[in-house]
Amino acid sequence: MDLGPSEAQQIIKNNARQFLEDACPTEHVREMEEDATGFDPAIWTQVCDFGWSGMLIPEEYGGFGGDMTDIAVLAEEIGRALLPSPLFASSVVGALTVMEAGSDDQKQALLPGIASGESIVTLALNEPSGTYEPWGVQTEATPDGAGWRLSGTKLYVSYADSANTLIVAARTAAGTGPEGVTLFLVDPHAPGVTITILDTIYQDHQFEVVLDGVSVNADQVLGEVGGAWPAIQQVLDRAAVVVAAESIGGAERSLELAVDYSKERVQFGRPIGSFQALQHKMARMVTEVTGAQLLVYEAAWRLTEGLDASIEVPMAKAAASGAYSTCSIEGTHIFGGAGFIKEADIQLYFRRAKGAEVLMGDPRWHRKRVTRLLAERSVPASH
Amino acid sequence: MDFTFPAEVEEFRKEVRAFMEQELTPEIRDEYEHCTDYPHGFNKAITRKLGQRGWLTLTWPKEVGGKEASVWERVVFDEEMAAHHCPIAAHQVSANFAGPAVVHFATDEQKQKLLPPITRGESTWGIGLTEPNAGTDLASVELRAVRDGDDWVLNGSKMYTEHVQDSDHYFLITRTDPEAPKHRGVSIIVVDPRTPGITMVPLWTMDGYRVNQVFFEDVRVPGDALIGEENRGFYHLAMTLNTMRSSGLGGWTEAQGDLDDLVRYAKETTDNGQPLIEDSWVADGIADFAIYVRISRLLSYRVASMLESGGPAPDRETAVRGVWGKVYGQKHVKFANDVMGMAGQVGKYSPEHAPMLARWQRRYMGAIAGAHNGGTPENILNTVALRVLGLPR
Repeated sequence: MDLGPSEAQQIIKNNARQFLEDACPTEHVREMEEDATGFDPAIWTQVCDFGWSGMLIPEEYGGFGGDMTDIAVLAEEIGRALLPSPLFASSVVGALTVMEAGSDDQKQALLPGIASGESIVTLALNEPSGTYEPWGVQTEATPDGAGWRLSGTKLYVSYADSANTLIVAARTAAGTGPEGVTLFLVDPHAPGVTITILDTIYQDHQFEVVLDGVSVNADQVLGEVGGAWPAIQQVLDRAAVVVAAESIGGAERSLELAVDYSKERVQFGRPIGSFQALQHKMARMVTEVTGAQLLVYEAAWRLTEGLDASIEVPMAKAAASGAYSTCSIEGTHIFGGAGFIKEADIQLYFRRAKGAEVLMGDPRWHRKRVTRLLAERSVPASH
Repeated sequence: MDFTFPAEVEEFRKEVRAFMEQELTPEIRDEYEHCTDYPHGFNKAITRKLGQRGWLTLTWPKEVGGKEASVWERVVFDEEMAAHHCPIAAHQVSANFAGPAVVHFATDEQKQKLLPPITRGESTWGIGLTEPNAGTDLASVELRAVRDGDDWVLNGSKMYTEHVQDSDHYFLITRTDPEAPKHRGVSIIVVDPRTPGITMVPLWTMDGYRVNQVFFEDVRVPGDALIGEENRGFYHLAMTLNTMRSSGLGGWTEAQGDLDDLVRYAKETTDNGQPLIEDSWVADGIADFAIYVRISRLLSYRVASMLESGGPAPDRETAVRGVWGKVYGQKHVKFANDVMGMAGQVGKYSPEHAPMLARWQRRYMGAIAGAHNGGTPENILNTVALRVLGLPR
């Protein structure tokens, strides 16, 4: 039992950190917030060459063949550097959705492009309700000849404007449960698709996608008609662990920034880091992030080993989001006014933490899942 | 990345579990839950049986009676003890605190005399650190030890000592050089608590346990009562406390048992027909508690894995684990007691109205003692700030 990265993973981590420190300083992060595309194609090409975009994709489909623990350690570094890219949207969520739901032909058609980074595939699951429960899918798919017509509003769709393919979740049978949810491969430029950027706290290129009677053929159904929810659930669990790992990286960096600043900033003739009020904040920050990191690793490891992780995943996401909130909020407080201005790095983490907190399920929702499972598993006392 | 125990350790777990299931009769478990003199149960017969198997000192070197077993075996032993509510008060101090100090700092003669009875589970120890004027600021101890010929003569007093009324040895830190800077004038001295001149006055804690104020009046002990180097006692102690912080790595299993019982209670108890667990604040708090217990486990394993790979007790993980328990633990205990509502106040002498035999009422009080035993929450936060984060003084 080592509860941490292997030597090979430590190398992935170190290389990623070195590369990102050069290629993705915070000036770049700020620049991309204002950028129309939201990421730099040159950096994207480079990280795809490293194999990051194909990390989770099996080698037979042109990927790197890595597992959940590999992507978790990489995600920590991406979270630390705040790398703006469609990596999570396409190479994690998009790739996993195709891998979990698609037929072999569909995998052959889609995965190599995702792995090489030439094609960006993003999942359009959420709707204005913002829930990750099956009832949230209310977009309608109505039969139309041999195909379907899609109508509804998708929200929080990452990098929809850069995507070659949208994977749209819609209902082929009315209802609120998991049955009747179907995934469709939709061309974002098809007639009836309107894409509008969302103003989000982190300016991270999420979109509203309005589908107004969009026509799709039968062969654009990803997997089985009406049976997509179990695959979506698998994707959400894996993606939640990746966001959790990214959150750990961001939380660690927030802590470092606060610690460094508090050693330098002098008030009342002393570095502010010598005041216990601030010391105790920072001691709590390191405690929360250290604990949450172990839980994220455990969840990633269980998913990799094919063990039941239904309780570890929501625990990990809840703990990691909690640690990221604590570290980024308290970290920003430690900077005082100097943390609030755009030039400050800590405010980038503060805003990113909010985005990561609600992405793939907020902590309250995950805690609800934990307790539901504990209640199900609880047995009456034996004596 | 790996989160599994080595196979042979799981075999050892079966052996320990079989022992616990056979030896810990309902009476002994009841004693653990309800005993008045000691938290965590005091049972010399069980301690002796554990000692006979060599389990109390699993990781000690063979030449002093240990088994040189892996840290994982010690973890598993701790886990099974805590999960089965095994009484530990008769060996906790000897095996996990005083013993390691003797192993590290005593002379061969002292080791030969003091260690074998500890490994066999035949000697019980008390610790005397705190004094009326020295709590968190431990280097300010005033219990005076003066050389007189070959002997030491002690005068002063110690506070809040558990177990000492039934102990064979009493581990003390004393002032041996009042002129030196305070950290450099402290020495470790071990005495027999039945020595003439020692008086114990019981103090009863709010949750019903006995601790003692112990007075020393011209207490004369032989020269070899000194353990380690004279006037280096504070530094010896700092290292010993660090070792102690990396013990009890299986203690989380007791919290896991508490959590399981709380979930069962919240599922089976209804509020106007609705199970408590469906109330959103209860559901949220239970999940938070469950995450707390899981992270406690993982932090324990992380410390164990670093100890097993041969390093000293790792600063970051050890200290963070201390914060985790001391700073965050209490809120979950309060939450669990809150779930009991009115019944949360009811104690063990009204068992028919006390959910879970009043365990959460006891935990509610015990959490305060737990947070301060071996250092305050603020103290461990300071340790993390200064030693782990390198913040300035």
